[in-house]
Amino acid sequence: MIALLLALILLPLFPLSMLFNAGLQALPVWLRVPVLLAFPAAGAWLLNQAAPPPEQYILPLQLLAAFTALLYAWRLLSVQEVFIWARLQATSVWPLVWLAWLHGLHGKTLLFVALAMTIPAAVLMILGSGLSSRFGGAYLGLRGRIGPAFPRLTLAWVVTLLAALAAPPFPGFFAMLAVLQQIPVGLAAVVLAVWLLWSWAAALLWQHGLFGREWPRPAGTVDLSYGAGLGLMLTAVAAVLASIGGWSWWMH
Amino acid sequence: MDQWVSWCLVVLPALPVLSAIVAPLAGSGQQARAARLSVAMTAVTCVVSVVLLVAVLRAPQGDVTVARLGPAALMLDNLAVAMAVLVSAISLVVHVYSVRYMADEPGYVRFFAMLDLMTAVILLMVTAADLLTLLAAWFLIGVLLFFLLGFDTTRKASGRYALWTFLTYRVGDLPMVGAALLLWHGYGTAELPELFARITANPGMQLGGVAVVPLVALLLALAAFARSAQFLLHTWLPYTMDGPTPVSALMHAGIVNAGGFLFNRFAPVFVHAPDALHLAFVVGLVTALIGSALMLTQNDVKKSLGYSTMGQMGFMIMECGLGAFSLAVYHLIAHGLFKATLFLNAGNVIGDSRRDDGVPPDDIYSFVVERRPLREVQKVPWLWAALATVLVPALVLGLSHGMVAADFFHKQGSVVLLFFGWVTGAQLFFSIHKMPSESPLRTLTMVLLSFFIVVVGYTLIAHTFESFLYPDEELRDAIYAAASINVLAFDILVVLVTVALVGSWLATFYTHSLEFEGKPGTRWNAIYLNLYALFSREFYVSYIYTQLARGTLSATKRVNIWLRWV
Repeated sequence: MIALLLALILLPLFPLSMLFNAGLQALPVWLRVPVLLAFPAAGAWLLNQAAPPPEQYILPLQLLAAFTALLYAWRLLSVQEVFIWARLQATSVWPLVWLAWLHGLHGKTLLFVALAMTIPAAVLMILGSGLSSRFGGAYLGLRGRIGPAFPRLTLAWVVTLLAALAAPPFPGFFAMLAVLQQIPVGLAAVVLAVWLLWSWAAALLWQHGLFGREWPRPAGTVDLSYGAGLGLMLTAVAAVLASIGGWSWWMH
Repeated sequence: MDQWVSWCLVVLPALPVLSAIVAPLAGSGQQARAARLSVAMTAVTCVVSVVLLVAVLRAPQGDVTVARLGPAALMLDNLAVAMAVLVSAISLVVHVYSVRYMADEPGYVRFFAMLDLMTAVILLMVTAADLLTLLAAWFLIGVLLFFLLGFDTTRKASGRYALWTFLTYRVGDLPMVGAALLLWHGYGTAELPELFARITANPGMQLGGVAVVPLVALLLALAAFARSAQFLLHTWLPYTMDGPTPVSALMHAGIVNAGGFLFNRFAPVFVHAPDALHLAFVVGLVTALIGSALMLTQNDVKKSLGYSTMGQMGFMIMECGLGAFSLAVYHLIAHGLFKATLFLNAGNVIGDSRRDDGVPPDDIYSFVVERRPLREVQKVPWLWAALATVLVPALVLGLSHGMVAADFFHKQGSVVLLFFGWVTGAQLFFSIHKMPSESPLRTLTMVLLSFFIVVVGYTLIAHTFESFLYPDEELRDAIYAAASINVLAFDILVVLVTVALVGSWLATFYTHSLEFEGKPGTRWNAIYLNLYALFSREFYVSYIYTQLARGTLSATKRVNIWLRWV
């Protein structure tokens, strides 16, 4: 039971999720990424250790998880600040880990699901810092498109958002299928709605950052270096290949 | 089939992916080289698809090749190869056209890379042999289309319409995911050939007391409706004209008709789900009527083409609903080819007509193309006109089908469908007969002869194509049987459709003498004007969606502020 309660803190559901978000926002930017990665990994590990909750708690837990996932995915629609977007999206991901666990997903697959869907949010945090240091804030849609001024940074941001909305062939896509395979039809409908809301929110964010008048490059700023761009691209390719390989292994 | 066929099958989607990676690298600093490379790779892809077509034609009937690439499985059957040839050919035309058309656009190399990726995922979709590959390709088409439609990033409008398209496609993806999961759970396999074999063996499979196959068929139909812009999920289509013209051509020729492909791919599922087919018929019919009506009220060439595509897609889905699956594929190929030509030529037409419309005053043109009523028509009894336009096509249709297939009249769907087309054609024939001409007898003979050739040609091609796509006669008959309705309902439907068609054409023909608009100030005139406004505002569907979306966004803002963004 203690493991379960600790997991509730590490993979928070509403209203604990509000406390977590407030805490994360208060942290310095450099600390947010490790926290964002450590919490779901530790939470999934704890869930793997924990015994299933008593019968009478299963339905309320499912309902709370479904509500949290939907609420945070829906709230994403009006977010234009990359840091807020990343943490709200991560908060809507974690209830799905709960749902999968409650319906029997365990072991490495549960850990994979938790990380595959949280890592893009952590990368978004890093890119948010990049935007913040160049524009003085990671807020999109205030002036216009950022592509011409920072093409490599924009590309990295677009690809990360694709990973965040669980598009194929990114690991999140396979993680979503793993969750959907595990849960009953009613909950699957909720998860599909959450998936749709992520897509809508990501497309709105693209719209804010990719289209419109050109946002001139502020004096003294440079685009993402070739090395950093290449590193990010190779990481993405490695993640895609690993997830495809992992899925093949799981399927067989 | 031989091992080399499997290799060619893997190479087919892999070549455009390779082109998307290599062309930008090779063309660094030299845009033209990147474009040439991309065109060359697409040409090779096209050649590979034709080679595969030859391999399929030479293989024993019904032979299916499956190739594996990691977790993905690809399949080569008659449907896949027909679609692959269409897609690669249209993609090649679009690539060649874009070389000069896009030359002055920023992001020239990026555009070719995205076209290549789009070609690759469409090829992946049509050759997918398992649910996972199909789902991934289905999803990726929507994502790539967003970036292709929003290629011109200087305009906010292109981003807005790309967003509409992306969202509609995502809405359509969800039932597709649901269908895949149900099939997976119900039949325990994701491989399509094995899945279809299991469905045929046990179509009555239940999950939690619910029959799997009818539910899956309904979900697949919903996915097809979203992809093929059926009514209420159509608003994105006419507005995607903000994208570059080559993208419009590719989209209208090769992407939007994926709904028809889906029906054909899952034909073994729809055979056991007559209700889903009847729903497809109704939705297709409504879409065809509304799309065509909206096309007539648009004053923008590209938007009018968009609604024309919507009407054609309605017709295609209706064909599926009638069990004429192979006709739907034939239709989507024919429509793809002519619509791509229209789009790629739209710029020239607009440019030419700005200088000189070049259209001589001609009654046939103004009636057939501009849909204006004839002005000086010698009145003929309406009963004679109606009879002539129903009897002539019925006679020609009966004769031509008697020649190709004796059992044709058991296939209700085809009868309704072709009757639709030929009654319309006969009306045209009748109209032309009334035109002033130097040699009326010669004109009439030529028109009758053309009509006869078209009908017989179409019938023969449709029959041959059906045998090619569905070599299994049992499946062919089972699809028609699933789509059929009881004889009384069918007869009533035929009569209603005929009356509606003949009535509409006669009304158009005699518009002037009937004075449909009514006198200004009268109630009828007010109704007429309101109806016209309703059509010209596209039934306010996109307006309602916009208001709903805005409401949702402002509600999330309020909640976010209330919860202090945590």
